[in-house]
Amino acid sequence: MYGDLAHKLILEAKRAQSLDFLPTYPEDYIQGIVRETRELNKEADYLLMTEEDGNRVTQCQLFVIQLCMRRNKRCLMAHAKLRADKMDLVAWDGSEATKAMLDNLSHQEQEYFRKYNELASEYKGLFTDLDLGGPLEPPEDVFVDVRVLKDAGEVQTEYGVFNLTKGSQFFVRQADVERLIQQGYVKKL
Amino acid sequence: MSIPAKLTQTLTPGEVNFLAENEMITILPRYSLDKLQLIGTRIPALRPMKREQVPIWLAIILKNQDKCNIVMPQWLTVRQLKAFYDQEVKNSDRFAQLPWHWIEISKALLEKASDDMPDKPHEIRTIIQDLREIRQLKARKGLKELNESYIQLDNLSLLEINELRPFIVKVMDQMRKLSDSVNSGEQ
Amino acid sequence: MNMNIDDILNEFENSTSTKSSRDLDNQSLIRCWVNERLTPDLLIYEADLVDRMMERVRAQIEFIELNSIELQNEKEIKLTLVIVESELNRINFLLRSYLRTRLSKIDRFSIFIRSEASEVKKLSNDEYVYMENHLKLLLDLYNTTFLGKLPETLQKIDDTSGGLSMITRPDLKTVVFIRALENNDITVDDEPVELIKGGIYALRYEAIKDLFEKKAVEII
Repeated sequence: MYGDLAHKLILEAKRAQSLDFLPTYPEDYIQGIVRETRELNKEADYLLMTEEDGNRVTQCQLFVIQLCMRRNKRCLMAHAKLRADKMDLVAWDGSEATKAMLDNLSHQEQEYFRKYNELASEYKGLFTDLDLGGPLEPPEDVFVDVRVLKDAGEVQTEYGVFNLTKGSQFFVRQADVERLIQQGYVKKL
Repeated sequence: MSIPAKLTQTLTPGEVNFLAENEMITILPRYSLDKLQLIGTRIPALRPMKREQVPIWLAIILKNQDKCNIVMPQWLTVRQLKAFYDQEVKNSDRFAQLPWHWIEISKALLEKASDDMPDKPHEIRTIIQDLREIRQLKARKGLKELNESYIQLDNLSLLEINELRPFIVKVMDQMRKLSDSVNSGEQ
Repeated sequence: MNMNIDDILNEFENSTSTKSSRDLDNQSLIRCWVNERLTPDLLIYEADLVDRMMERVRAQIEFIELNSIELQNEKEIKLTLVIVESELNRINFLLRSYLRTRLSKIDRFSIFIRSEASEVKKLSNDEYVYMENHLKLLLDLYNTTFLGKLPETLQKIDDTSGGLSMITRPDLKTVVFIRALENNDITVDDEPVELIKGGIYALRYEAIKDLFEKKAVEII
């Protein structure tokens, strides 16, 4: 039935919305909907050519065809926009786009993603002091007390050199030791 | 999108807390610190035992390093909180006038400065919890009066409003859709 | 009387500094951020405010760079730096979230914004350039993936014919939460509502949009 594919596409978009990556580009659906829309258009052209003046049935048919075509277009646009939105967010977050996500993009989407990355970088460049790609959650403690769990040698920070010997404690910028915390060398107190 | 969808037209609890941390609080410095020009405010010179007003985020940094004691706000005492609780019980149709950020501020001070409290911290914690629950209960009852046009929420704090926000928005929007379709059906 | 001159001066500075321009700017920025986050439509770009804040951010970064090199073990400077850097992070966050929230609205409503001179005026020059460039990229994407293959009559992106608009515009009927800053009588869905100073209400944005612009209510 007309509109079925568009409906499937929207379900697909809805599913993609809740994922934190992009599923494979549904090329088949897209091409199917495009084809369906062109067929509908041909049908409309035919009806228009053969229409007797004021035939209400034909007018009604034309109206329904128009609605179907526009709905198809709206669904295609909504789906494409949703995927673009997701790509945009990756460009802003600064998180390295995972290889898997890039694989699932269509060729044209990859092109879009590359160019949008440039555009976002350009805008970020206007405010270099801000790190516009940084976190959108309010900052918590910038400095924290940490205890060293394993000897980790010397660590160079903006606030000087720390010698991380087991058992020692430091008051340091959280960002400077984030890595060491993840690796289990130091622990936040 | 340049921000995640979950950030549109609402605030996260972290952001409400961020706003609370900008409120002022009185501290009793234990050390001297020269006055300091910051981007968004100027910190007065701190002298031991001379009370000053500073933003809460700063008070917490100083307290963490044992550089000050925090003077508890007047409302954050067992006596005052009990009075608020009594009001909540007595007036079923309105909320007691607690500060705009009472939940976040009491939570931060209980966590970081409980030794500066004249009252027993666990008693404060209990009454805060009681207040929180009785107000939630009242809010839920009040929401029965929700209609599609407006609702009044006087004396609720920002965090409490923020918690009700998704529910109220959803219900009012659905009521609007219903009445829109009824209206268009009549025409 | 055991107040010395320093105390008196401090007292004086305190009373003036509570209303210093930096405090006022800081409060405005917080307000602008909250407003931009909670209103459905794009608000006017606060160019002067952002410029002033950026200027101070730059100066503060310089201060940190100058002082962090030599301090190493000097306790007092270290505490000063902890405070300065913590505040810098807070301001950075506000500006970052403010600017990116605006871009997200600009992205969502770009076709609508372009069609109204009064909307375009709300953008900074840089935002306008960003909007145009982003739209061009999106159009390229749509055209190459499906729009170009549709029948010619359907190829426009800002189509509103056939009772189905392709343009996303702000929904002014969105429910917002406000605090009344003064008494006012308003009409909501043909029903009179009395806003009482200090009262908190949830209602439709369109009902208080004018009052919001006149600063008679604040969005919360």
